[in-house]
Amino acid sequence: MAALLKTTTTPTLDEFHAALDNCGDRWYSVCLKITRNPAYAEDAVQDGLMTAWSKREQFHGSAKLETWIHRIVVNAALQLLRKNRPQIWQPLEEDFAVEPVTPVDARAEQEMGMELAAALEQLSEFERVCFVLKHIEQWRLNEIAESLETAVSNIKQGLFRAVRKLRISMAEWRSEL
Amino acid sequence: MISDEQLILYYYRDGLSKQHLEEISMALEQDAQLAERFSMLSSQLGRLEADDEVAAPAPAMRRWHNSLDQLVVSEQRKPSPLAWLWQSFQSGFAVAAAAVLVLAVGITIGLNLPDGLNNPNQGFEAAESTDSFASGLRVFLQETEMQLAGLDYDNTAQRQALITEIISRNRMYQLAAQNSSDPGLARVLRAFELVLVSMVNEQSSDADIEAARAQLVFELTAMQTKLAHVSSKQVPQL
Repeated sequence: MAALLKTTTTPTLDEFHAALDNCGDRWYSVCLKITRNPAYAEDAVQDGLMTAWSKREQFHGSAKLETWIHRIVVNAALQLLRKNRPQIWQPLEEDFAVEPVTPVDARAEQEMGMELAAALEQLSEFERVCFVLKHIEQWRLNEIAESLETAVSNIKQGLFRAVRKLRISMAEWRSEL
Repeated sequence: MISDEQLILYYYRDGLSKQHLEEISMALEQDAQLAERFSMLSSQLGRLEADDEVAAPAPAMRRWHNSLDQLVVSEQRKPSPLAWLWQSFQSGFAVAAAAVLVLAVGITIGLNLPDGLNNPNQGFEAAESTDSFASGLRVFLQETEMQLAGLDYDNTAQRQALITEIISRNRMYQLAAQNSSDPGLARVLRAFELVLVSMVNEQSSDADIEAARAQLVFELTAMQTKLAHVSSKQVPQL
């Protein structure tokens, strides 16, 4: 009974701090994968935490607090990316080019771990976001489409291209080893 | 023939109808070549699992914890709507009066201009407005830094009044940054506000206030340096 009552209670500041201690690294990691920019990733976690705190009364305990905040943080990363680079959600035909690697990307890569980072580097922004949300975050395709405000078919195409490119680059690594 | 795209969707069990999923399952059982293709795909995707969690930088982690604390303090100090209106009225009166005056003068001049001059180049206006925003912001940051440098720790009431006034001015720039679609600048100013609020928190010790003041002076100096590098015709994108 006590546990049941607890799940309907608005989370406290201590619970937020505990969630941050437990999952701060994971939140930062996923934001880094989405944005490929450490500064954006830090801002996204901060924005997400602020939003989660301001909406804490909407948390009903059906999921763990950490999971609930995680989702908000991911949305904050997407929002930040969209605000700073609105062109990334433009038609897919224009999205084939791989963006040049910048010093910021290089730092992100260093922080993210070489293998996955190097793989993600081969992808355009749209492909990367589709892949991270589907493969790592395990969102449903229609959830991704809704969040990116595009059609499910576009998300599928982005995902297919991402997987195709990743398989090619993985095959190349194997042959180099 | 089942394509790689269909196998990808099958791997994720998403984007395919139930019937389609069953068809692919059956085909995988019957077709060894297809099963091998799927096995290779699964193994490749499996190697890209998210097992490489990155440690968040320690200063960022501290900042996130501090932001939560400061947000709570900020909420606790939030005045009632009536008190807020009165406070806003007091602190915003001079600014509002100046704005009304500028507007009135502008309208008067505009109404009296000859037709040819009554349609000014909008690009020029925008650049000028951006420029005055940036220079106003620079002055505000400079003044705030000086005011904080000379903060009187012995006179609590005076200190609180000064910081409340700084918060109020900071909010104006924050709002202006939001309205001019500069979320980076708005975010920095919001972070300033959180530190300022912690300085008027009655529970803060002198040491806490001094630490907050030192942090803010550092941030203000850094931001002024950044602004100095920004062209005088651009709003700083932080």
